[in-house]
Amino acid sequence: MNKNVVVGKTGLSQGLQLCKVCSHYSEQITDPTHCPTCLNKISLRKKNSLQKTWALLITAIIFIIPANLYPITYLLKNSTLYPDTIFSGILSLVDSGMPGIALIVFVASIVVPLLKIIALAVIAFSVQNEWNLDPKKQLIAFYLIDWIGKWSVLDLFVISIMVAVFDKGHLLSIYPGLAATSFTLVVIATLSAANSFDTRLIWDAQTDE
Amino acid sequence: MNNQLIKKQAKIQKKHSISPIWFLPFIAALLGAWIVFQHITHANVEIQIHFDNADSIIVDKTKIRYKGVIVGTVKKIQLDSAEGINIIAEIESHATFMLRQKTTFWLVSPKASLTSISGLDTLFSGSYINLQPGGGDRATLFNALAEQPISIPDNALLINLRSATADSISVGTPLFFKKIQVGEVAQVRLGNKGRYVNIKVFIEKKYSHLIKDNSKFWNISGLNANISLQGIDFKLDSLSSLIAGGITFSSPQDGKAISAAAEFELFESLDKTEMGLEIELGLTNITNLPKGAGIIFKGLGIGRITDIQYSIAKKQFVASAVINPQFSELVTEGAQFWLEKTSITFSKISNLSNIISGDYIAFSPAPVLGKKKKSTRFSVQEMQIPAAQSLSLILLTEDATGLSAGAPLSYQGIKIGKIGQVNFSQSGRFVDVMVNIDHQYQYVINKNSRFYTLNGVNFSASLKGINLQTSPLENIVSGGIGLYNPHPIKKSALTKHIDDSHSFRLYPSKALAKLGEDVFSKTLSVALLSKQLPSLSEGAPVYYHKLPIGEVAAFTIDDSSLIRTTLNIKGQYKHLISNNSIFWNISGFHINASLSGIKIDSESLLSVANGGIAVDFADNNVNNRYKNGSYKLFDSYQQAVQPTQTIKISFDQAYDLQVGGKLRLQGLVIGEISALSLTRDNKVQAVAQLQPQFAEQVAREGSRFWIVRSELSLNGAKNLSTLVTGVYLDVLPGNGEPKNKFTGASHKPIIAIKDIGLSLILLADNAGSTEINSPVYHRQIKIGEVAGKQLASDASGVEISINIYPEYAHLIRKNSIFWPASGFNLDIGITGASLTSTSLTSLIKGGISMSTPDDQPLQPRADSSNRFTVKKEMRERWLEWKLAIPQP
Repeated sequence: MNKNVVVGKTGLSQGLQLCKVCSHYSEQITDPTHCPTCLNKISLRKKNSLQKTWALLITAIIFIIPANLYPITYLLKNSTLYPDTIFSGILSLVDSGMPGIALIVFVASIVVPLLKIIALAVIAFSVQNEWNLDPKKQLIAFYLIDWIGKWSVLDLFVISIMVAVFDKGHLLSIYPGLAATSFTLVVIATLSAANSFDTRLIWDAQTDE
Repeated sequence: MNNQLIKKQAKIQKKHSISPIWFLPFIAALLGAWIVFQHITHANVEIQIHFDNADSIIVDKTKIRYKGVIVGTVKKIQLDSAEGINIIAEIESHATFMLRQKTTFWLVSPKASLTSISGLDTLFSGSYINLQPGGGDRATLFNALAEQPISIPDNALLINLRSATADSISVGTPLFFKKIQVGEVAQVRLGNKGRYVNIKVFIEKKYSHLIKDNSKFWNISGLNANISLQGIDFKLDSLSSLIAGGITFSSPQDGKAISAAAEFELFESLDKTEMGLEIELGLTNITNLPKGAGIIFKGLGIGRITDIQYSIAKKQFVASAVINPQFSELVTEGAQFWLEKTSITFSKISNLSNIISGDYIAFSPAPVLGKKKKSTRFSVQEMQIPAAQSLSLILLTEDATGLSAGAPLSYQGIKIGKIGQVNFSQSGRFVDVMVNIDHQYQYVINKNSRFYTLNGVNFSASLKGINLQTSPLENIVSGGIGLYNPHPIKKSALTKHIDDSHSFRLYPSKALAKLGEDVFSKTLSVALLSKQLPSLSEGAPVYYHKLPIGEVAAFTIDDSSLIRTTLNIKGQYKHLISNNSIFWNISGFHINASLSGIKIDSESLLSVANGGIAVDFADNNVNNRYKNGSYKLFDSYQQAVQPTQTIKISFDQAYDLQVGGKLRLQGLVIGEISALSLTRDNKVQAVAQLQPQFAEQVAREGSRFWIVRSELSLNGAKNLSTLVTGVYLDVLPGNGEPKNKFTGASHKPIIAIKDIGLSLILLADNAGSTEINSPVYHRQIKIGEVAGKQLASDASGVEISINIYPEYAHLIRKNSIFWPASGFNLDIGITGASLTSTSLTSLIKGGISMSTPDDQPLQPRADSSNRFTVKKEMRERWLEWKLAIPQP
């Protein structure tokens, strides 16, 4: 590296490019398509990153509504179908004296997806509108979202296990509801949204004053 | 360089492309919009139902169902400001059309009663609210019903019953008609003023025609126990009615069917309906007859006694009874009532239950219904009297032992009547047994019918074993009468009118009934003559086919110095004695012990002890009488029927011939030697008794007799069995004129063999070791034997006659060669000695071998005219001939 890297400035503005594969940054050259070190494809920024993020976010926002309003499971007990939404499920957990589990479910099924959508939306907005929020805090928030996002699948995991295990015909059976599908779509959409967001845009959006 | 590069660098224009990813939110938005649309258009409707209480209603759990389908859920329970509670429920959008003003709701909870369990599913799923749609405008406010409305099947007839008490009648109580459930109580309500209980009953459509305008309904609920000093009387309808109660009704023929709902009164019991036919029964004795005793018709209670009073005027008890209207048509003139009491006899125990429940009155309708007038006054008999139509016959017997009134009269095992009474006859000579024959069996009685007493136990013991036959226990104890008809009677036979004056004789046994016709006739005296006094005693029985038909009356000496045995044959068996009757002695045992075994013949045990005489018919040409007309008494049946023919055979030597030795024809015993004597010319004369069926064949000119005895020789053992059984005579029947004197031989005649097979004469230089019976071999298989040998007429050689077995006769061809197979062939040369021998038998017995050359064409078969020369020596190549000789 014959060029000193200045901390606090974007690599793009310094004429540097980063290979996402080998984490090696190199000088931007005319054809910045391949990493000189590992010969993998390099793009300076993800293509249409913000657009993708927004599209997926909107999808998630649409689906999170039925996911919470419609029954996520149907419990068939003694030939009677008892539908349960996510929230009614949490309430019945609280009723049956399991606030701890209720809290976990609440966090994993309601708080996390909502927070993810909100946080991503805020970051995306700040990037788009150059709100000049603290990039470090945004980055921390983003990584937090990225990390916790996987845990939203927990709910679906539990449902799929219950559906498989409680299959005793008319006596006791559990069926997934419309909300389960919606929730799955929410989780997938938010995960993809986070994935398609290029964090470097946060710095790109910083306007020096 | 750098500047140049910058100059040349293309102008990068930011391109505002729209990513295809926007497709996703677009679809999501569409879906969302659709969901929202669905949600709005299919919005659940909230309704409010007013309940008195909210027992077992749970928010979010209690469902609203219509015909089992969940159409809504209780969402909220509110206290009503006035009274009760309001339930806010959400009715699903697809069911909202049922929410009309007249729609009813009620709570369904599990209900288990003895007769039915309903709403069982709610035990697990919880109670639910049922919705029954009704008409009217749309509504959202409802009042729940306190209980389930009457649910009646479509088109069922609904009637109202008015009863003083509900009396174990509840919803679901069955309505019976003739014990078949035709409907059900749908509702039990107190009447407006509380005076009556209104019972709504529905009758299934298919039975609704049974309800007439004059039908009466009464309660048959449960167990009707009538406990009195006389005992406990249980009356029980169906088990279901025991548990749940029941209602039944009458359906009079003359009533009109009702169409619309009607009101009837429900009576407490049949008696209370006051429509049962009331009758009066006269009784002489009411011991153990409880008040309320049932009137039973073939096991079915058709009525009961309601009251018993003593009538001083009639000097008897008068019982009022009510007959179930369903059976009132049966109560006509001619119907019978009688008292059924517990009876414990040896033959049967009947009505044991009466000990507990008291006696009851049995009923039987008049035999012919229809024209009879209805009657209401009857007198109760002590026992059932057969209907007038039953045929009464008088049987005469001298001994009525074991016969009692009520004992059955059976015909071929079927009870067709019973003994009515047993009494002395007018004349005093007989006992009159009156039997009543059931109407439907009267056709089996005709003038030829014979009656006999059914013996309880038939015990017959013989040396074969003991045979014990018993009739049903009932007959053993109470006796009985059987009917025997000489000719089977077709069912279609018309009932013949039997004159009352015609009396039947009662035979002591079936066997007698079969035989006897004239029991009144006197005994028949028969005289038998025999040379010796038979081993009989006076009183010994005379049997006809083991049936005792008479007895020995006396022994006297006849003029002709023979012993005269006088028999008395019972009158009814007179016909068994005819001109060709034969009599023989069956006294005691006939023991025939010989080395071949012991044979014991015995007649019945009685005849063993007492002696006896048997009689039977014989063929017409039997010599069964002496010249003076008296019958002969034979020693045995054989002797009587088939007198043996005596032939005399003289032998040079008797060997071991003994009296009793058998005479056999081809192994079959056809006679035996009865005497052996020495004639004047020192010959042994055997007298043989030929069995008659063989006599004609054997006692002919040309028959040859010889003694068969055991022979032990080097050749083998023959007839070893005669060592044990003794020698016997064999016979070869001739076909000449009848003859009875013969000369016997000590050996089997050769001619016997010559009759079968092919006889040939062989010419040989000398007889060699050939003997009679020596075998003739072909390929070491015995195909014949030597029948005899003799010098040729000019003594130039020996003629050996052989007999080839018929199955091998075709093997002998005109060019066949014979050589002696006898003995052995010893060749002694330089190389050593060689010994050839055919078989051990031929070594001992000698024999002749034969073969046919195969180098010549097959020659014709030889016949008895052919002569063959026996070669002196055998050549080896003869043994190698392999001529195929086809079976003829």
